[in-house]
Amino acid sequence: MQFLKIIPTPFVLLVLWMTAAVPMQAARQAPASQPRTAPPAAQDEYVPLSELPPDEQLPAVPLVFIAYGLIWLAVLVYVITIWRRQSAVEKELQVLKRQLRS
Amino acid sequence: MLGRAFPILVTVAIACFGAAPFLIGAAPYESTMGLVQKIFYFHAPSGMTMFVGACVAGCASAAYLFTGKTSADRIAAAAVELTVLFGAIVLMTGPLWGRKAWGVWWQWDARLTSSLLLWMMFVACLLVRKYGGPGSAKLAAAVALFGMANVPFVYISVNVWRTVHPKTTVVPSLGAGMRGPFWFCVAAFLLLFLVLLAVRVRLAEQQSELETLYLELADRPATS
Amino acid sequence: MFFRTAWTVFCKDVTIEIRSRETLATTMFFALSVVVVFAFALVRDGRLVADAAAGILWIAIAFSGTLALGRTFERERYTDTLRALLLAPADRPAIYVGKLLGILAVIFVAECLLVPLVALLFDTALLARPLHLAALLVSGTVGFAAVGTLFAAMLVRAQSRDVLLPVLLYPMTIPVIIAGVRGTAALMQPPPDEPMAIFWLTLLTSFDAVFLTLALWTFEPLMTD
Repeated sequence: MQFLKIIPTPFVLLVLWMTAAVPMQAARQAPASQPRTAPPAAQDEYVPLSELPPDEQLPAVPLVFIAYGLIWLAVLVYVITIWRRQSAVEKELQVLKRQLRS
Repeated sequence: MLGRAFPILVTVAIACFGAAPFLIGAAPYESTMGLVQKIFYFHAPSGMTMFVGACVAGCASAAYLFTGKTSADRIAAAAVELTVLFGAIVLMTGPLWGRKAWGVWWQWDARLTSSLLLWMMFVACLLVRKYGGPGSAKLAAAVALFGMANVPFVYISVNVWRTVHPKTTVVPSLGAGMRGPFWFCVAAFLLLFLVLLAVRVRLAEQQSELETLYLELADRPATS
Repeated sequence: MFFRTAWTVFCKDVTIEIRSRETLATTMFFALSVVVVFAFALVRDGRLVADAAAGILWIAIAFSGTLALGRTFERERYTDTLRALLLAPADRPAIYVGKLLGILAVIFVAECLLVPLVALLFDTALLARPLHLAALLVSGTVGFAAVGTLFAAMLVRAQSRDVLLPVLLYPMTIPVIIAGVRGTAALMQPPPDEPMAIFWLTLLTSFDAVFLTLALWTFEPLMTD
């Protein structure tokens, strides 16, 4: 379990990298011209993208970014809470063991 | 819990998650949803991990109820926390995808409602453990058992009812370019689950060791 | 022996209820209050929002059922009779079944009041198919009470039991309530949609089977220290 003590720093770095990496990777491969949108509601003729109603132009990049960011944040918060509880328990254990030995 | 395999598994898990963005980025686009469909590669594995966590919690709870083994109780407690964690991930990423794909953040269809209820049941389990007082471990075990009984309902809900959520036939019929990254992410999430389970069980073991030491200290005759 | 024990426990509860009428009176009045409160929330222009009557009926059943559960087991805890029951040389599952029958009796009596009340107050065709409605009510109530009796019994010795019972009960029984509401709403359609109601009824029966089995299986280890 000593291994656990050296995890947090590389883990935090990985989190920061991933939060940026996934959406950037995906976005880089996206066609640079226009954001992908859901097919518009039934229409009789061609409507250029700029004339589509605003809610059909929802940009996907922030959504993907936020989604992956939230995942990493949730896992990170959980790992940090476990780590804090673990250190508190270990400290108390050492104090108690010392008391019992004396 | 995992002994010497633990550092290796942690390294592999971190490596998997490090490689995941590249695999996900390289995967082909889905025809109608485009970029936002990439959320799938973490959303669906989280859902699967939530189900796995619920089943582990349920089985460990049953073992604790019928054999009284505290090791089973520790595993159950850890699995319940992880089910809540991965369930929260599913419930947060789903609406972000749904907002773009369906136009709404949330819909009260069978799959979404039943997933929310499953998540709430395990949150209730955590509340019982925290606020139920002495003997709450058994109560939490019963709740987790009922929670596990719900997992099949949640899984098939999307096939039985007409819902806006994609059916379970989507995964077996994934295109060649998507299959690889998807199953890679599933493996990464399951590995993460295993690693976090081991860490949490270790914490529970130490807490129980602490309690034993406190009792030992209290039992000692007072020295003048 | 099993059924005799269950019947004895049930008769005990019924006798107490007939003599004091406490749980029955409070549960029925609470059900009425719930109907009135939700009526105010959901009425527009003097008429109820479509299909809301089914929802109101089942919410009233759920809330008054929770009250009845809490009251029954609080009484057992206060007089310490639950320990006496558990010390008796009887099958624990039989005691569970006896308590379950007692709770069911109270909720059924409340439903006998609620159904005509909801049909009258909201001018709905609730009684168009009485047999189907009765089947839905019975299976839904059994599912709700099966989980409720188990949780109320196991929470008797826990802290924060008053708040934990609803916290545990509702997520577990919402599927039962959803099925009940949808089935009842199907029966309230201008021509009652019987196939739909029967679909929800089969779902309710499967919930009942799962919950009853789990409850019977876990009652003994839960009530043993």
